Amino acid sequence: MSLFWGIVLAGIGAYAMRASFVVLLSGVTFPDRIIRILDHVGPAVMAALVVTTLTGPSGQLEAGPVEFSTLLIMAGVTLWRKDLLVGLFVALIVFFALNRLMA
Amino acid sequence: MKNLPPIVRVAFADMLPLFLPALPFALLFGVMVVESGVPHLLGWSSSFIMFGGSAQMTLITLVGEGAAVSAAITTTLIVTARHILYSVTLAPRFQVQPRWFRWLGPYVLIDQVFALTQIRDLSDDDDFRRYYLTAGFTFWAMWVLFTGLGIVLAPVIPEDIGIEIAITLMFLGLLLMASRRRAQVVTAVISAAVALWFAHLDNQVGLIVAVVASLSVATLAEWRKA
Repeated sequence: MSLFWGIVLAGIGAYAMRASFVVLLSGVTFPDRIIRILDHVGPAVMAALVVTTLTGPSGQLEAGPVEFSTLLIMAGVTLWRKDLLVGLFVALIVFFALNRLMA
Repeated sequence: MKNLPPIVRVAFADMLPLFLPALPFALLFGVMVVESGVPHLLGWSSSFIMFGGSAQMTLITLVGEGAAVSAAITTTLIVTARHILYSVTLAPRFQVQPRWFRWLGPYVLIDQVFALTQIRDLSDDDDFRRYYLTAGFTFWAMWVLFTGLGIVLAPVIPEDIGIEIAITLMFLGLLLMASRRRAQVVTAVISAAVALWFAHLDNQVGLIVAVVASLSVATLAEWRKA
C-alpha cells in the first residue's frame, strides 16, 4: 500500500472515530444521568494527556524540578485567576527564568 | 473583526492563544517529514487529510523507520482512539444541530476544540455551532500553515525547540478549567494515576486504559448517587 493511501485511510479512520457517535446517536435522547457521566470525559482525558506528555517511551517521568515547578505555578495561577491564558503566560515566563537560572 | 458576531470573536480569542503551545509541534512535524524521507507534499497533505498532530507524527515516524504502511495505520488509529470519547460526549450537543454540521463538525474534533466546548458555557445551540466551527477551523488553518512552514524551514529549525512543556501546561490548564465538580477532580486524579502506572505501554495505550478505568469509577459513583 502506498503512503498516500495510508494517509487517506488514516484520515478516514480518524474522521470515523470523531463522527461515530455524533452521527449514530443523532436521534437518541440522553438521560441526565448519562450527561453527568459524560461530564467526566474531559477531566479524565486531559489528566491522562498531562501524564502522557510528561513520560518517556518506557514510562519514565521525563520532567525535572524546573518542569514540576512550572506545572505548580500554572495550576496555582490558573485556579487563582480562573484564566487559562494568564496561567500559561506566567508559567512560561517562570519556565524560561528558571532555565536561565539553572544554566 | 468588528463586524463579526461576538461569539465568533470569543472563539478566535480563545483558540488563537491555545495554538501557541501547539506551534513547536507543528514546526517539529515539518522537520519530521523532511527527516523521514517522505515526499514533502505527501507528508504535508496529512495535515488536512488526517488533521491530528499525534496521529500524523506517529504515521510519519513509523513509515520513516521502515514500518509497513498497514501497521503504521493501525498504530495511528490506536493513538486517535480517544476521539471516540469526544464523539460520545458531544453527541447530545450535536443532535440538535443541522445535518451539515453533524457531518462537518467532527472533522475538527481534536483535543483543544473538545476541551474548549467543555469550558465555555455555550447553552445557545447557534452560539455553540458558531463557536465550535470558528475555534476548530482557526486551529486547522494554523496547523496546516505551520506544518507547511515547518517543512520549508526544516534546515534551520532545531530538533529541540525547548518549549515542549507548553503543551503539557495547556492540557493542565484545560483540565483545571474543565473540572468544576469534586467528582470530576476525583476522576482526573484516578486517570492521572492509572496513566502513570501504564505509561510504559506502546502507542499511548496507557492513556486509553486510564480514561476507561477512571470513567468506570465515575459511572459507578454517579449511578450510586442517582
